[in-house]
Amino acid sequence: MNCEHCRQLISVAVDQELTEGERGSLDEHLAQCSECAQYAEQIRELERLTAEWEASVMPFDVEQAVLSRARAKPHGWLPRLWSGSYRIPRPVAWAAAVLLLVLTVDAVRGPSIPEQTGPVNSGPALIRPAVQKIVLTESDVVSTYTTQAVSKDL
Amino acid sequence: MTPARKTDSHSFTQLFHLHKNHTYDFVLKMLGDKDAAADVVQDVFVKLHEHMDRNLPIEDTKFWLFIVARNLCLNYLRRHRKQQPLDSVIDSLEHSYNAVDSRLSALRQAVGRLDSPYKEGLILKVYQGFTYAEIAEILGTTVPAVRAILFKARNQLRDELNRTQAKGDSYEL
Ligand SMILES: [Zn+2]
Repeated sequence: MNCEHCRQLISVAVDQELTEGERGSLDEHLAQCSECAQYAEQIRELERLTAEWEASVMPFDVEQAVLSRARAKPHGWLPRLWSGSYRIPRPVAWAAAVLLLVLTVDAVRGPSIPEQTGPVNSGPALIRPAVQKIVLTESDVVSTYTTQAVSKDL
Repeated sequence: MTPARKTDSHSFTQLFHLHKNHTYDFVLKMLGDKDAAADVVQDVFVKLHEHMDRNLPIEDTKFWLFIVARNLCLNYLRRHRKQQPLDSVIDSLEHSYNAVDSRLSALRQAVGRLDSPYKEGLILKVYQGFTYAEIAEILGTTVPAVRAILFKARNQLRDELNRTQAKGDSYEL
């Protein structure tokens, strides 16, 4: 066993996660290598020092703030969608994003009948504002999807 | 690797009281700042509330909370990386402390300077008592990687504290 491996095992020993075989070869190396033995003593001293850093308890005002924020959270999907806390399921978000993309491209291209003659009717003008509204929703859907992907990874 | 766990069926308030202190302690040690810890730990539990509100499954609340808390802490530290000069203010304050306090505050500062994942690995092991397998799950890595993480974390703390000692503090490590 080299000194680098020995020092890694010293850390594992402190955490009480050594296997039987590792314990044997660690003891063997420490008996022969004074530098690693000194390193082991330093790591043990470090453990004694870290143990002095006491655990903290959540302060009462923080506790109250958490509980009141949780109570204030809106219920029902519509208020939560409005507040941004409602996540649309991933397949639905994808389907909606694709559909809206198709609709947007379609609307930008205009009516598919090519050589239309005569005065342009008010059809597309009526459609466009509606599409613009939907485009806003699309970005919402995309950002919602991203947030969901992150929270799923959590 | 993933141990079987029973699904939690407690209410939010019950879970909050069960987990508030160790979650807070983890976040405070990660951030080293009480105001920041108060903000981040609130976000952690609001996320839990939202998650439960949407009836999403949580296999084990403690693990879930530590994974969320770790991510929110890392986000916070990333956003506030530029505000590090505070350390020098703390340094000057520490000089008036007695020997035991200065050893401990040197340790706290050294832990504060550890990078991810060394800081989380060390705190999860030393202060939260998780096993290597559990830490691997929280950090999304393997047990051999956790062994290496803890070894490097301790090595860096030892080096930093030796350096502090060399600067003239009155303890040996
Ligand atoms: Zn050696």
